[in-house]
Amino acid sequence: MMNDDLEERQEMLRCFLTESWELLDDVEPEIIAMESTSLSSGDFDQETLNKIFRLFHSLKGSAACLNFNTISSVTHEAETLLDIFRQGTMVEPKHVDLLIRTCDLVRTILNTLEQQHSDQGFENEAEVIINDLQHAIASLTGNLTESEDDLNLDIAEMTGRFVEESLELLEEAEKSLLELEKAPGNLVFAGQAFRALHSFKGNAGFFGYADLEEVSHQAETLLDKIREGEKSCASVDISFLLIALDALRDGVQQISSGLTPQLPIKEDLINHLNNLSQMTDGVMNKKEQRQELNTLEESKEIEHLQINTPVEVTETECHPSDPKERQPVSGRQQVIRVDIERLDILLDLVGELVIAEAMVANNPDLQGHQLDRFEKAVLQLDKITRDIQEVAMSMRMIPLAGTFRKMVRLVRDLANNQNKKINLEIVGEETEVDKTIIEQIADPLVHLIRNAVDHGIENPEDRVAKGKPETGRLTLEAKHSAGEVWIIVEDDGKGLNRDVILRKGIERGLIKADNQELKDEEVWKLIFEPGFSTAEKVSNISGRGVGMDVVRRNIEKLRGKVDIRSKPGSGTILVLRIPLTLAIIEGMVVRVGQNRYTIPISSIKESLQPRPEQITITPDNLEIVRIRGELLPVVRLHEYYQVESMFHQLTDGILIVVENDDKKCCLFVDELIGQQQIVIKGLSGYLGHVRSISGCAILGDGDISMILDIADLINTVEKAKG
Amino acid sequence: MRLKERLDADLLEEDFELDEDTQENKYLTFVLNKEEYGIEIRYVTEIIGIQNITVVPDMPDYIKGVINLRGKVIPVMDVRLRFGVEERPYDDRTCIVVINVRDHVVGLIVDRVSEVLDIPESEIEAPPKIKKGEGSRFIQGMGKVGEQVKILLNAHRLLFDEEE
Repeated sequence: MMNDDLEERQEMLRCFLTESWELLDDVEPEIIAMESTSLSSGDFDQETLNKIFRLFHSLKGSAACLNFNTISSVTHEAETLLDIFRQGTMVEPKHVDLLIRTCDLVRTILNTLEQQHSDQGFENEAEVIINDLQHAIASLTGNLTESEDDLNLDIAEMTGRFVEESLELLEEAEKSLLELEKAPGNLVFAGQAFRALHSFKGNAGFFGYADLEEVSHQAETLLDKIREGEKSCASVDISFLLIALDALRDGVQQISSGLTPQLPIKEDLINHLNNLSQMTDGVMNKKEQRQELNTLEESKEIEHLQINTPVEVTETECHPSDPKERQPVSGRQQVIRVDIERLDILLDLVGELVIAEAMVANNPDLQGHQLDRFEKAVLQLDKITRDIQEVAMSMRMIPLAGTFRKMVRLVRDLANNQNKKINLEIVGEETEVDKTIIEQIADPLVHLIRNAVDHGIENPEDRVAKGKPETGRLTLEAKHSAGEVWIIVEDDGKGLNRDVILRKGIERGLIKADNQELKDEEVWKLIFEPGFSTAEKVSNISGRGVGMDVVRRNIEKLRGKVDIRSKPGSGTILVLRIPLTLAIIEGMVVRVGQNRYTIPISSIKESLQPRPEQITITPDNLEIVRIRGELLPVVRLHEYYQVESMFHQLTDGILIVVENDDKKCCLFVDELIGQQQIVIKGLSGYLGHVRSISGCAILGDGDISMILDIADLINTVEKAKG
Repeated sequence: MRLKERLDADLLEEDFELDEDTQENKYLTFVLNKEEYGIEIRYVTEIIGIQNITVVPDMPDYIKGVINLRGKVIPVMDVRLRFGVEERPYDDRTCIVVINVRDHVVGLIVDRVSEVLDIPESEIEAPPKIKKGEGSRFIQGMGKVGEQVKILLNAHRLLFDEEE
């Protein structure tokens, strides 16, 4: 874990350095150009000023993200100064000089960063520049005149920036607090959190957000005591501080919605923080503390356990492989930034290339000819096309690290809430998945982790009584396996209770009573049914029976599967299996009359031409086929889709055994045409949703084939049976 | 069967190179069931000959299915059926007029494509109110061209209007 940490930090550092060099290289010439212009007219292009402002703002943001506080404080002042210029104040040569000195200092620090990995050691120089910048600002703000219009626009813009900055600062503070909790002796983290809150307080005060200012002041005071060593950091301190951060975050959200921020729990929060600051260790009864904490959290009425998108913003800024809107800049970079739109266009074209290549390779004109050299050439073309495809797809891949990291805070809060001790282990976070998967996987993961904490892992006393270690183990793992990405959530809790689930299943009419033959896996699958929950008590975390249903739906959207394994008393493992390539699949093309359908190979178990003795017709006219002892219903595709079929006798055509989620059936078709790699194209939005069709594919001869959605088909058929 | 121009190549080229502004008052006219219809040329992206149509299940009868247009899958509508008129077997003069309305690309199957005509607003009269059947609800106006009358269609309603 330590090595991973180090590597990850290196990566982030590299990313930060690349970005920062880029920014400086880009904008410094403009600042220098300002020098000559200021000598002549003092009149500057607004666009240039904005650009320079953004330089310092971005630098500040990234630096803050990585706790390079020297850089961030210096750039903060520069940014403030630039802002004054943006609003119309004249720039004088001495200001330009100041800005250039700021850039120089940042460059020097960046250079040292490359070796040293920290921006310590430059505090003195930084202080000098900060003072100078502040002087300049102070002297200029005395003479500020603006028109009414500008003021209004500026207020909106400034508020926007305040929101952005504040969220960044709060996130920074949260990170530091979590680190501090793990290592209470390491006061550096206390210092970082203190500085973040201090900046936040300053900004809030400037804008006149009294509530936010007061709360952050109390939090800052407490942190000050901790970082000075006057008070040692206890878990309850962290908890209250985190609650304070959440409250502040809410306030900021209110601002971004255009409201004045008001914190209803402000009084309580301030009192508690104050008390904590005043006391020395061990004075307040631990139990009382816990109770206070619980009431406070409940009275908040906010889902502070929700993972919000603002967090996303800062996270993605630090990822090297995340493409963003920027022009590519050459230089010392190993990374290039690409417009995500361009990537999508490229991927579309790659898809078209695959189709066109298939149309060449499978062209009907070639039938019956002996074309050895041609075929060799086509094989080569095929190989290259696949390679291009792979590379193109890999460009949209992002490591799961960001998503996994967010779970750390979630687990901590959940565990504390329930007085359980849980250690979250993250494995394989560097595993990369397509961007769309990342977006869809967050919610399911949250549900699964909540379940593991709420229902899986027992409280410390029970665990010890069972002979388990007091601290529960929760593992979040990701890995690639055979064209899929596996995301595994494993806990060593009490496992799933087969009897309780069976009982609930019977109660809800999902299974016939007392079906002892049901395998364990089938029993576990029941928990995915909507509204299914075996929790006796509905807490506000889980128990409403909504979670697992959502999980399954989200995973199915990605054409993935969920596997469950559980051992009573030992724990539960949930595996989310998601195919890596979303748009290109292996399909089996079949013919029914004049129509061709494609069935994803992953859904096909086998195909056969049935013999008369395998076929049974039930009294209600349902056709059943017996295959090696298993009885499977037959679905006549020509009837399902109301098309003409060449064959009507089951024994004349082909039966394809398809499966989804352990449910099987047989599709009756005229013939199997062959296996093909197909590019999935969505059916036009104009047509709307079509029964059991997930999209269409362009075949080798240019014709179109409908791709069957086996999951939907099996479900529809089951429902029809009643 | 790929891009087969049914019209004079010059005419088509000339009109398609015009930009948005000068496309006003220009209509592409086509024949359906012996009547002449027109649709604003600004919606028309191309005209192709009839080609293989893949059936899509569960669609209303006037949606014949989808076609492969240079790698893009687009739905096609038989305008006769849309108007409730009897179907006619497709021959080598049958065309698909590909239109783009509100980013939906749909092909319209018509008997024959005629020409692009300039019909100024002064020559367009309001649609007859009472006439039922034959797609009366899709009519935008009646355009007078010399001795003839062209029935001008509303592209939006043609695509999106539902049966009452």
